[in-house]
Amino acid sequence: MKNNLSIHLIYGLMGLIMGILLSAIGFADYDEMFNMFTFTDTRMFYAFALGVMVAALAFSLFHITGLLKFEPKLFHPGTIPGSILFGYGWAVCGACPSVVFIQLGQGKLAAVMTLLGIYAGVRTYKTLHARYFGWDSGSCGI
Amino acid sequence: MHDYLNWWMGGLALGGLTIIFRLLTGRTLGVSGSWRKVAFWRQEHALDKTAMALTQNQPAAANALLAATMAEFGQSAIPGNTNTTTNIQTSVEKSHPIPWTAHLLFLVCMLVGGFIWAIYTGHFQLRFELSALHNHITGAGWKMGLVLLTGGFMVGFGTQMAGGCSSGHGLSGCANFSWSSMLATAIFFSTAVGVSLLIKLLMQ
Repeated sequence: MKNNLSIHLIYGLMGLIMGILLSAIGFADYDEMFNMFTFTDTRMFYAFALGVMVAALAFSLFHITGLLKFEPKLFHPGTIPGSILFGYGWAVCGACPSVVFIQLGQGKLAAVMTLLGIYAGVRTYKTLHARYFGWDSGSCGI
Repeated sequence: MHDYLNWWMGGLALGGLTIIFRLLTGRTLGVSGSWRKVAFWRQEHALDKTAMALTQNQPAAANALLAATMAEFGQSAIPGNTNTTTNIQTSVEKSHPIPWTAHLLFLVCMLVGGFIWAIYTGHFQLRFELSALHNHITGAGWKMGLVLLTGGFMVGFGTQMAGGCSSGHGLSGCANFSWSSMLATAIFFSTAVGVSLLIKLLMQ
């Protein structure tokens, strides 16, 4: 088991790199996002697709060499409606769960509202899930 | 106007981040999972403490399990006493969760990363709105706040319901050749495209 401090250092460093990288690509810029979603500027679509392909290639190599295993996610009744809700929210806020922090870091104070909204959404979902939905969401792997 | 990375440099860096995260942490990159753990930090804190107590008292935990098993099924249920302890140890180690504070640090450092980039490139500007375009779309003041609050709610609710977001499903899920992630990614991208095209249509 890795010790506690090194886990924190790694997660902190990863967050820092991710914050800088997503800023540098333009994912925290509403105008760039809007241009991507309306196909005015497809640069970020290509960046995203290339990122997936590079990671897929590496994960395949890991899988073949036995270094790491594929970790597929479970399909469950929430996958489709959840993705539709997220897609709508992403389009009107220009923020996914990571980008909201980056927007705040760049000085865009309105992202506080998005942050509060996401917090409320996460809390509400868990409550509803426990009471009404209850399907197996593979909770270890979210 | 802005000096953003070109598509292939951005793509290589995104892929590299996904790979390095997997190698360093042993987990797949997924920000909505971190959100869930931070939003429910009380429960996570209790879990972390239990796991910590269990790892610190492995012999005691193993003996307690052994005693309970023998009380229930008798001496014959335990084939070789020495092996049992090591088996339990490894399973405890594997199930040890990442502490919720590491997830909090992950999220807070994204904010710091955004700040560093903005200061370094001269984009830092303390302002209330996201952009002039966003202001134009939603309307100023409380209208924009309301749009962001409800939109954020849908992001939070939707990512938890779908079990991932643009990093968990989009980057690491698709790269793991997970069919449900590819479906989810196709759906949230096309929904966002549809909504944005509709907004553009209504603006004209």
